[in-house]
Amino acid sequence: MENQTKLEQLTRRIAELERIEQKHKDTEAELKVVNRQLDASIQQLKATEQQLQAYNEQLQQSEKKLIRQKEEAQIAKEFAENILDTVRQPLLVLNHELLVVSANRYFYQTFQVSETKTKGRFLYELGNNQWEIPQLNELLKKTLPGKSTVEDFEVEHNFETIGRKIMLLNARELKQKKGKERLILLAIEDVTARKNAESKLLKLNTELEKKAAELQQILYITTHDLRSPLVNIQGFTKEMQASISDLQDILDQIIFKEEVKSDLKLIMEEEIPEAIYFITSSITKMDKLLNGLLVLSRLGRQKLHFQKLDMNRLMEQVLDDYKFEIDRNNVKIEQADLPSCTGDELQINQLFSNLVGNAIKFLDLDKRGKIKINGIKKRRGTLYSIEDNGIGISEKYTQKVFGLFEKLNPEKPGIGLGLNIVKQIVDKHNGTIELESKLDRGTKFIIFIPD
Amino acid sequence: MKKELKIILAEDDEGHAALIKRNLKRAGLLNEIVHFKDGQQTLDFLFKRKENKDSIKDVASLLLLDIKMPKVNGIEVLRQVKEDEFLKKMPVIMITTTDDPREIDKCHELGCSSYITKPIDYDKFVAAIRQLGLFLLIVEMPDLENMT
Repeated sequence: MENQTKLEQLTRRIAELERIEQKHKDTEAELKVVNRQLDASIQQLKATEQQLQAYNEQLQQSEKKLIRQKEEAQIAKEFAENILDTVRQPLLVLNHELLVVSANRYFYQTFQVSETKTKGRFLYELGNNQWEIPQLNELLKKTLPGKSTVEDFEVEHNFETIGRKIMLLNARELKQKKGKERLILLAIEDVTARKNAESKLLKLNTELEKKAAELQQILYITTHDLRSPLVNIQGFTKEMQASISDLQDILDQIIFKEEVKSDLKLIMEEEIPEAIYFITSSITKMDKLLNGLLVLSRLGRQKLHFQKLDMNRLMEQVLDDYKFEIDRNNVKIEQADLPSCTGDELQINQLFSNLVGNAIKFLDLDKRGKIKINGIKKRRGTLYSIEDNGIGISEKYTQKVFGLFEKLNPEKPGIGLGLNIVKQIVDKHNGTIELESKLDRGTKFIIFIPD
Repeated sequence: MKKELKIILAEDDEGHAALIKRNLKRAGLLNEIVHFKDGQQTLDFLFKRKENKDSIKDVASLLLLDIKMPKVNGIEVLRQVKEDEFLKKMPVIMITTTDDPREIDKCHELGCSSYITKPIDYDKFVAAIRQLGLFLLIVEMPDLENMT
């Protein structure tokens, strides 16, 4: 029984052991599974770690890139600011509310304001509200939203610190990405000096014009006033001549002593007539001069009436006025078809009349006179020429001929005014006149009348 | 009935006036010539005369008017004469020293009857004055009396 019991006990033990073993086996199997799982997890972990590292590296690179970009941005900003600072013109960057975002060195310098009192402030409160310029606010607030630029807007303002300034304002909206706030670049050009110079020039010009007009007036009045006594001198000389003639008739009826007779004859027939001759010829000369001056003063005062001129018709009139002299001297006129020009009819007529007159006056009497008149249309006007085969002008005098009262040949009639008038007319038409001449060969005048 | 014609001469230059008077006489005009030396005197005479018409009965008038005169110039005299209802029918002949086209235009615009330039060429002057004299002999002047 004891053995039995012992066997039973053993059997039970074995069974138990077997169970335990089985359990061990199960556990072992389980462990293996767990172990495999663990292995997988470790693998995963490793992979994750690698990924993390990669991420980290990426991050570091991004950070470096960011720093670099930031540096670049800084450089770019400094570059831009340097440029702005170098610009010798005050510049302001404003936002849409007209708050100053930035300003350049010349702004601070020109308007004598500090950076701290400028940036972040409203434009109109700058420098103790010195910039409270209604026109400017109006311009920036009203004009800019619609138009993206404002050009050369003139503002005159009296600044406390720097005095009265005239400024040209140019504003432009800075191009920004969508959604960002609008920025306005305001460039301020101080044109005070220029404007002052301009107004001074204008003033001087006005004064000059006034003086010129005054001179014209003086010329006119003097000429007129000088002519008035001349009328008397001439008139009473004629009266005196008549009286002398009457006196002669009376004297003829009186019988004089022989010794008085010859004296009387000398007085009546030589001395008085000679005096009267010189008085009369001087009056005529003076009258011519005065008339010339009158023509000049009229030329200066005349208002020009510009129109398209039929030059063939005009030249016909001019030549018609000289018909007598042309026929008398048997002058050959070669006139081409003349293109029209734009000018004042009376003055252009006078111009060509003077030139044709001169050509006739200075013909060479040893050969048959020839006058060639030509015209050609140019891009911006018309070129005319009047050429003669007359006595010509020595080269050293070719510029002198246009001078006032320049008379090269004292034996020829005239007072040396014709070519001066020609020059003045050409000038008034903004044209040019040139002269080609050879002694004994002839003279050619080339006139350009612009459209 | 042909009425006596009175010539009113407005001329500041004594010499010119003397020459004009002499030559009008030589041309056969023996009419009375009243001479004034400036525009103001001329206007005073004309406008006062207008008020006392009785004293100038049966007198027709003609005005010879110089342009450049002291105080009031001839153009202004012409303007006032032509603006006046009563005086505007009086013939006015401008006698002037220069032949400035602008002045001539102005005078014609204002209604002058004729325009004579005082030429230095005395013969022309005499001819012009003679012509004027003949003109005055032929034309019967409207008299101030019947103008109202």
